[in-house]
Amino acid sequence: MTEPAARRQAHEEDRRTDRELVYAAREGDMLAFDALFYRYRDGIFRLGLAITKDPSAAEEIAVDTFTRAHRALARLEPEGSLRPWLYRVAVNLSYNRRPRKGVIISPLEDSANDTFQSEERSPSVLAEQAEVRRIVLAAVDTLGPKHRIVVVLHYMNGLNLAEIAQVVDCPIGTVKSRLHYALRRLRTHLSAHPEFGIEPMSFLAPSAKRTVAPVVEPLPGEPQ
Amino acid sequence: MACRAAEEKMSDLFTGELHPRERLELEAHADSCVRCDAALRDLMTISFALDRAYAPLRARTTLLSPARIRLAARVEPQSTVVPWWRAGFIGRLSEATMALGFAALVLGGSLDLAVKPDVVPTAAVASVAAPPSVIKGYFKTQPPVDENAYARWLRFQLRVIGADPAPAVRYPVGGQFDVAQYSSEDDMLSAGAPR
Repeated sequence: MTEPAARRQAHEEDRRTDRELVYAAREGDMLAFDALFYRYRDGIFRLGLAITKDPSAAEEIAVDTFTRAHRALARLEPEGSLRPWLYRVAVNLSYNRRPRKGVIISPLEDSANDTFQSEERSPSVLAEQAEVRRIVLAAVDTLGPKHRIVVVLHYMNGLNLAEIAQVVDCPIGTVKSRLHYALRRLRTHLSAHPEFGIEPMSFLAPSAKRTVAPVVEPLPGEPQ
Repeated sequence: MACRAAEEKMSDLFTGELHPRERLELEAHADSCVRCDAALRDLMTISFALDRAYAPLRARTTLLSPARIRLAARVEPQSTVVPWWRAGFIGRLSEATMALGFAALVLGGSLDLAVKPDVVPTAAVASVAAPPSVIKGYFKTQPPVDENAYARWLRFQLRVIGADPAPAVRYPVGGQFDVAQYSSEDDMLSAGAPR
């Protein structure tokens, strides 16, 4: 095992909490900051990649995020995990970042091929999966920033509602309603694609008269 | 359970934060309501599709090193503002000293040229002959080391004393000079190449 890999593994096996690592880094222990870096590096990179769709931009966002964390070590007081603070900074940096001109961005497609190539499937199945994936991600891109970030944080980063609420700095009920609204919008968008088998109907609109009255009267004893 | 309440519970079902009892109530309501059942089925489809669509992205990693963070953190400019009269006092003092030194150098050179006395050699000084150099005279009487120059010198010396009636002899490059052998041009031509 090479020296950087061994060092990374040592940092990943660091059992100290984020609060302890922050306090140690504040005292000048750079290894503690490295442990924090290795703990949240990939998550922040994926978050930036999901928003910007540009791997180099995602790496710059990760660097900027940890640079700000290093600068803010003196005033950081994480009660539990440092992840909400880092993710909030990364989200703000991602949305404030201006897209580079003249760059053709398609990083999510090649990653899809890398993942599915390991499985023994026919090319037609792989093409179908890639097409479904492209449709879903395009539908997510039609959402507004507030709703899209909730979807990304939940389905890509695996955060629960409380953690998402800490990241986006709003109540849990707001996060829940945003996620529900996003799913409802996605249902509307994806109903245009028959491969999903979604019926094109309004989602739970309060319309009591939409149900069609039965043409034939039920027999006595027959369930309604 | 009404449809409105079921709608509120559906998002909790996919985030895994629905109590088992509420989940049973939601499923019971979906069994009895066609629209809620379809909505629940569609949301499950969408949730599964989203989970599947982001699966490759969850496998992505980066090779960023913490050294890059340290580098970026150190090259950031300091945010503290220092008054200009206190910023780098030693540096500004050295700058002023160097500027004054340079100005003194330039002005001093100009003043030196201005006040320098115009010395013109007079005729009396120029008429005084320099004493003959003993060293130069000694080397003039010595034969040169080079062979060709030595031949020319020797012929000159012999001509001065009137003992060399022979004409000048040209020697090939690299040849050796022998006065006794090449006493005349005819001898040189008859003898062939020099030794």
